[in-house]
Amino acid sequence: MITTDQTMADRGTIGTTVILLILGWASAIMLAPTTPASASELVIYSGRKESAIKPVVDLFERKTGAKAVLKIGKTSGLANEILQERQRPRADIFIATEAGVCEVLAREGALDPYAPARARSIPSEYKNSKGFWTGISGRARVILYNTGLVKDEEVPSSVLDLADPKWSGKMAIAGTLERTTLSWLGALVHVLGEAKAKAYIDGLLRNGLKVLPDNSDVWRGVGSGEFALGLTNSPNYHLALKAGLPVGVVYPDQGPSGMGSLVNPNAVAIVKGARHLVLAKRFVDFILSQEAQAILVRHAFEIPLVSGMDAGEVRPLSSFKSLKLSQERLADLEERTIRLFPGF
Amino acid sequence: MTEVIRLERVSKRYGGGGVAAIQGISLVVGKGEIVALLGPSGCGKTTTLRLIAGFEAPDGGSIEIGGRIVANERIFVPPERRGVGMVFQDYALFPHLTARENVAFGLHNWNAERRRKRIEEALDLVGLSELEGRYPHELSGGQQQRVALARALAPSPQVVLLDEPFSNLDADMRAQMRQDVHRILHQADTTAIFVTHDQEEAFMIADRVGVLNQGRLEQIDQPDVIYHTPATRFVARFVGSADFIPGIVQGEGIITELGTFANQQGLPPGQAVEVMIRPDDVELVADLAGEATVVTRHFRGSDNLYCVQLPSGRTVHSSQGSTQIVESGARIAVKTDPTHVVCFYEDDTTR
Amino acid sequence: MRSGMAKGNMERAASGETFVFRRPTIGVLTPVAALGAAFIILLTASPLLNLFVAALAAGSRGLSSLLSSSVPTLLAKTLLLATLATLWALLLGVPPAWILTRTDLPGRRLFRVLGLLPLAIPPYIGALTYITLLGPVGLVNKAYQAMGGSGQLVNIYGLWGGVLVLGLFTYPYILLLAGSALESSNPAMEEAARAAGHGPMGIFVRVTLPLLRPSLLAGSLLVFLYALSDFAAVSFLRVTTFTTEIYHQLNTRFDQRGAAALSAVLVLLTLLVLVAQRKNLGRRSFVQRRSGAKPPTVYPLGRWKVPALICTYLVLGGSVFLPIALLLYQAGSAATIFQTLASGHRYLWNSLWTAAVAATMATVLALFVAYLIDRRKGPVGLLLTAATQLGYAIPGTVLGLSLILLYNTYVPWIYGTAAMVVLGYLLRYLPQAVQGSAAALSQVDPNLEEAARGLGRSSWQALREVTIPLIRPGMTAGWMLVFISSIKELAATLLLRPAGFDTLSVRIWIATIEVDFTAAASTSLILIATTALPLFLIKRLDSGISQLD
Repeated sequence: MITTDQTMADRGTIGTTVILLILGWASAIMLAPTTPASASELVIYSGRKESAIKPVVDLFERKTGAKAVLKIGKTSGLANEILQERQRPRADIFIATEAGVCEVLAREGALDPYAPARARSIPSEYKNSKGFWTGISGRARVILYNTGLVKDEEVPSSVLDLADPKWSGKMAIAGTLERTTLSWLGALVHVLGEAKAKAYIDGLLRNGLKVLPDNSDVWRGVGSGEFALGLTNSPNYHLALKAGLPVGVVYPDQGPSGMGSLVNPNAVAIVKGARHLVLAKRFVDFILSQEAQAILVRHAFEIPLVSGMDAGEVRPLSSFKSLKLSQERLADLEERTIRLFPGF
Repeated sequence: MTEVIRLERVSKRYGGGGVAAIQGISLVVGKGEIVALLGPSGCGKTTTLRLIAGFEAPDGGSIEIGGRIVANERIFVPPERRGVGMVFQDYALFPHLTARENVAFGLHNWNAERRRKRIEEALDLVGLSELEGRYPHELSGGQQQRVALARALAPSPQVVLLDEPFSNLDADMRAQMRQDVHRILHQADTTAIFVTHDQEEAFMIADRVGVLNQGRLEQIDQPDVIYHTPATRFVARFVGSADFIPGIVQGEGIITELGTFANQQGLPPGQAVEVMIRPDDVELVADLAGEATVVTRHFRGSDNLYCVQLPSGRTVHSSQGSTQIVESGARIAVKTDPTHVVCFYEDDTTR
Repeated sequence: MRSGMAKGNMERAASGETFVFRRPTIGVLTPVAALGAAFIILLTASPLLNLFVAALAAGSRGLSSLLSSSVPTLLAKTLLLATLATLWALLLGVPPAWILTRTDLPGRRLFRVLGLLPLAIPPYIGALTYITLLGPVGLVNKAYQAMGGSGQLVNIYGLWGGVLVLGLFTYPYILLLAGSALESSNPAMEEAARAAGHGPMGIFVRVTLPLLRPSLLAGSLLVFLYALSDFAAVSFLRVTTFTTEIYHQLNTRFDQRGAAALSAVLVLLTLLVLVAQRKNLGRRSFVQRRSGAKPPTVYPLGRWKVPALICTYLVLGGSVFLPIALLLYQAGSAATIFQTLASGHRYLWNSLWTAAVAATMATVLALFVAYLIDRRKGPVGLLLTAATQLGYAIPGTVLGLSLILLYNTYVPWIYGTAAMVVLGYLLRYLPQAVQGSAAALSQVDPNLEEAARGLGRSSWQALREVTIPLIRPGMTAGWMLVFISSIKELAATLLLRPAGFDTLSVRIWIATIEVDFTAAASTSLILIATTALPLFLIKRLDSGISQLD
């Protein structure tokens, strides 16, 4: 007896197809809410750590009632993404750990210029002349040392002193995943010239300089005594103190012929084609405001760049000699710097 | 007799134009007939079965079931609509269903009452009514086979196909099952085709036997016809033992070393042929003056198989009752008087 | 006469009944199947192809960045790490596998279940815990210094730390595969060896080990490939490998082509390994007709009981108990964990639903693929197998990068949504689902489907009523595997996630980078809770399968 159930077979096929379609539809619905299409959601790509930037963003949300979504990552990586997404920009705001990156982005035409009123008091080396990016706050390159391992009189006063064999194997620095290191290397190239800078760094590496992934590894390592010296950024000194670690700091190369301590500005920029331009501008205004700056100084121990800010525990800009170097120049040096120091 | 299966010059190639598994097979199976496809492994018998079932499509020729074309160059009816039941070599019982549920599987379109009755009938037919709640892994090999048979028969298919149904059973089970299956198939008046490499099995169960060799159907006929008048040397050798001795046709007789045979097939005089000799046709008598010698003797229980060397150096075999023994090395006289004289030309044709 | 009859039949056929004309087949596939196969191949192969194109387009620039990263050293380091980790995993996995299946160790059933738990702990969490223990400021060093020692006794950073952690958290693959091979092997061979006078050691070396070869090879391959592609654990432990270098390039250069070039090399390497596997294992038949096979012999341990217990406890302890204890210690209190859960429930939800959707899609595709591979052998099957196995060959970082490159350009409406994350999981873990379904499918006698068709079911119905019920445990196990792997995944998620969409694994990464170990530990515990439960369920299903026959 032949079962002529072609219709049954069809029913089965149809039924399964329908179920699959429903599943697909359900998935699509699930995915929908995550597309950031809502009108009042500001998208921020931040190379700064969450602990540093979130309080500012939270305050912004409270003050304006707008919502912000944060994507935390490495500055260069996020810059890459912004370049990738140029045809359809997703980000509105880019916060970089140092401004050289913004220079490069500006040159690629990926940023929208905006010069907030408050920015007028920022020194020219910490903002872009055409307004493509604005420095938020600064971090100085310092030498952190462990007070238990390094006596006061031994503390080096210049970064060039670090080549001394007595520091062999006792120094640490963060690798170029941290842009502040990269710009410090660029600054060396600018001041010493390529040949001398390369010789110096090679000397340091031969002297056992340990390259760590992150600046927090550096200050914790110095604080714990794993290293005697660390080349890092000024806020980390305060963070280490706050953690109760026995550390001291020196702002190097302050002498009359010294090059000065490099100050890296954190920068904020508006991405070209940002979907929430108005909100983005408000954010840039906000981050330079008294309240936001106060958070950055108090919580993140950063050096204010706008005038008239109380620096609290942090040494203000005026109190030390900073390395004079424009971000444009740093951006010019970037390629060469990267190639000169592959090991980092 | 109504035709149930008709194969018309069916061929199948494997590997896209490579080895031909089946070449130009034609056969007809009538209603209620049990046909065996016999042959060595690789001869194409299982392929033929699968073509009939619809698990393969032929490359040439046509297949009809119940008078309806189910496969040719343009048409292909899928297996689920051919009304063909199949019993696989390893039974292929659904392990997640009980025996009863297995049998019920093909009856899913029937109304509940009819289905219940039919399941009972089928299980009864194979004698497994008490075990219907068991799962396949809880049944013995023979029981599993019966369930497989019941399952195939339950939907009253036009034909049941069995693929080497007894090869997975041990010897004593096999004998019993052959009888049982034969009885069941006849009781259900089912048309059946089964495939085997065992000649004894084929002869015992089938009404007609088809011998396949390398994809060709060499002969299909009743068992005794096949045995006594094989169409080719291969058939001759496959269904029983055979020796071939050369001879020359001379009028009414064919002259050979073993004597003169009747020219039953009316062969032209002077023709060179080979005559088929079966061991049971050859009689030995111990004779010191005889011209042949016994080379070896094998005791086979019911008979002795002798290998005999003729004066020409050629050997033939002889099967004699085991009550008498002729020792190896003994001189004997050889007599043959076959009822059927089958001669083969050099090119393996007969006439 | 023949053709006349034939025509009569056709007319008869044409009159009342529905019959089907011969469906055109592409090769041995129906059009639907061919379309589906093409879609899957496109889906899985396109990111990789695009990557290679991008890498080649890098031209001299990419080449110079390749040279600057000194590829040979990188290659050597990465291979060394992977090889040592595999050896270590073998050492950790084989003895317990034998002890737990072939001896009368008390509590062995429990151990077998617990032995899977390390799979719930991603290696990067394992790295975290061992840093807490053996890092420069870890517990061991602190204790050592407290006892008056100077300097550091141990430092887990570096190659050996990487080997230790990777092997410790991947040995369950070996344990699982070797264990099930040992369980289902035929005792006849070992009994023959016994009859020939060999003691347990001799039997083990001469009979058991050779029999184990396929499963050991398969397990070693899994571990090796895992080690090649791991990113988060090795970067926490400061080991330089291909993946960390790719990440470095991505985050320090403006040019992704250098990273693409490195990725291409890594993928070629993993493809080589995969091909070697296929060649080595050849074609094996999985179909085991178990008709009341005798269980393998069990050896009494006698005086070896205590050492065996110690061995098992050590392995379990190092890979399960110790890490969890350390996490609890780091998290501090149950209150902290609950707080993390409360403030981060959004991340938990993100992890759960992306993993679930990916697992479901993977299972459906896998069934389709496994069916084609198993039932319709031929070039298409091989192509499909290769395409779906690509997921093994692509490390998370590379996959993330390739998907970004591809979808941003060609499929921009998906780019920037969480669908990318789901897609990443799908492509990366499809091989697991396919293997699960394929293994389950190969255990099903193909005759069963034919029997069903002979009894009046269409192909679809046969699949639904016969095949699927039989492979359901295997399919469900495959679903769980993909689910667990997706929840643990970090490297690709980091790259693919849209702004504001973090998963549990991403939160752990961020917390670790920002040195908030308490948050890292609490979130780790939450993650482990979501992966441990399905693991137990898989184990249940596994025993369910063996009961089926």
